Amino acid sequence: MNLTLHLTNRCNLACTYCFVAFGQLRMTADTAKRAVDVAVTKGSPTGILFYGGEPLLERDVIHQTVAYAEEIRKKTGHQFFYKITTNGILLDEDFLQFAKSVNLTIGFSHDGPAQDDCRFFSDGSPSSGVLADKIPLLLRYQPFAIGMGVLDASVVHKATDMVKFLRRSGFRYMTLNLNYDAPWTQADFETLGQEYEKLAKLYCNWTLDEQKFYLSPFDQKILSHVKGAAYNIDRRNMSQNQPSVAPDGTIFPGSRYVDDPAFAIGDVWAGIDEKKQAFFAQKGAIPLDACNACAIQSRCNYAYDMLARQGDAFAIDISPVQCAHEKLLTPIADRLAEELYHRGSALFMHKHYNEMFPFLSALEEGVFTG
Amino acid sequence: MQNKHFTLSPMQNYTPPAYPTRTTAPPAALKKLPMRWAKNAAMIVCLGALSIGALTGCAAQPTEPAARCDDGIHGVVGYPQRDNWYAEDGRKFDVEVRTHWGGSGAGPFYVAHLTEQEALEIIRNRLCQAGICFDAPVPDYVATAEVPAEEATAALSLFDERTRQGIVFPATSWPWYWEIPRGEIEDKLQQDFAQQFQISATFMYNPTKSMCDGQSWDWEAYPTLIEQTFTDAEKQEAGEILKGRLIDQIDAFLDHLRMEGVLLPIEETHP
Repeated sequence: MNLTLHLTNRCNLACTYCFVAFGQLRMTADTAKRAVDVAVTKGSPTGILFYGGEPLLERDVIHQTVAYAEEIRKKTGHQFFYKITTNGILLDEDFLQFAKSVNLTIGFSHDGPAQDDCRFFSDGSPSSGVLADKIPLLLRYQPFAIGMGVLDASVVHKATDMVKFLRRSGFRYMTLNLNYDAPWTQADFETLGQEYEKLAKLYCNWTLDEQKFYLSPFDQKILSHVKGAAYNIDRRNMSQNQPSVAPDGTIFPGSRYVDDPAFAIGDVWAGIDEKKQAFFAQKGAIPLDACNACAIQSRCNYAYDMLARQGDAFAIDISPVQCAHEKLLTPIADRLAEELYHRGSALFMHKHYNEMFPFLSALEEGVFTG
Repeated sequence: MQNKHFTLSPMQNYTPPAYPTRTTAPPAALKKLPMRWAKNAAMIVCLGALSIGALTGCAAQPTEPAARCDDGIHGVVGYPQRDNWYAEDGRKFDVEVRTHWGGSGAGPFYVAHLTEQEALEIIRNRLCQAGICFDAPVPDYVATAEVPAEEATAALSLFDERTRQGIVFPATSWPWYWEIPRGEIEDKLQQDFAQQFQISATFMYNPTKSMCDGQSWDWEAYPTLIEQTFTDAEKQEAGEILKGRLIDQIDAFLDHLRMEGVLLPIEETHP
């Protein structure tokens, strides 16, 4: 089982699109250790994602949690994997050396040319300047760090430039996540379609050039076809296997439900209430009638985030924006994949059809040999 | 979750894309390797270990191991007439003597200060010390490369099954030898070895010096010409130099393998 530890709801940035309810909550090291204990009872391996707010504000808790997990590993052989999602403001050599020593993967949020449109300090000052030196520092320690951009409606015209920025900065693993909660309009989506078309050309050229990279949303959407029916099953299982732990130790089905007691499925002292967990999992597994009639249902990402609360009742709800996004993206990703398939790109074939590709890719990058 | 500009609506029709799923992909879908892998020894070794049978359908065909030579290094003179080579001590060469890329002009006629067997033995011993031992029979694999009006071929001289490293001591009896950019044939042959057999082939050359640049050939007079040109001391000296050059090639190859992760870094193998 994996865990998302919401170490704090404090943050040193005030991003326009953040869904976290900011405050002064902080997870204690003891709570984090108890969360590790809960995860360990569910079997090996355990992935621990340090999340926030800004998790690097709780650096000491991270160190103590990892040290505790490593003790367990030495005693029992239980495997742990660590990951952090950070805005990068507090990244420094000390932390990067620590991350390297315990194989902690860093996801670095950066919106490239849109950084100062959406991601600024609470006093309104821009953050891009502070981060300029952080990216090369990060990539020096972690060449495979993940560059994560958020695509807000207000900056949709910068989508291609965001990806170009991340790639030019040296990131090979790039995610571009839509802010579904933004006030998207039809005009925004027309622009988004144009940006995706441009990105598809970039993706095609890079792949034909045998550059190795990962770019969601295209890789994800192509995988949704290549894996067939297994795609959403895997995603649903993944979401169910990664509960979130709030700073006070309450456990929730996922990060979007933290802070809403109605969705609590346990706590780090009493453990997970498996009946409650199963209840939410079953609720989330029932598709809407509209989805049952949809020709791309099996490829839609709704299964990852379909459970919400409406009024006083639990209900399955899918963002209409997400629905529109799926219908926009899928044909573009498929045309891209068709072109690469018909042009016989060997890298494309292995990336999407060779189940050993992640291992082989890591091997090629020298991950196993340092 | 609500947005006044959008409503949930199913996509009524969608033509399935024209690229396969993992279930429907043709068996040969993964046979072609990305170039970046085909040139990477570690990748070839790993791919070979993972999927040699499944991906290629080729099975090793054992042949006799390459001949060993227990003699030390000593000056040898010969000329390239396949199956008809004799050292000056009367010992017949049982494998073809190869030329090297440094040769120029008149063609593949060289003074062989290192016999094929001697050179191969140096390669074998040096690599074995580093962990790649060529004790397995050499598979009878032939790689091919399309070149103008011809087809170049190469076979393995040494082969290590565990790491799937192969050494090719190439013949240069290719008539288009001087018309192809240096290294291009090897690149193509290496790629073919990788794709067909999941073997990382390395080309090494007998670094013997050509002595007949620009001269016309007199087959009958050639051995005499060589004898008149080199003293025994010079042959001995040249032999040591050539041995050193060959070892340099091998060590560069080993460094490459260490960088690629096929072999442990040198500090771990030589505490």
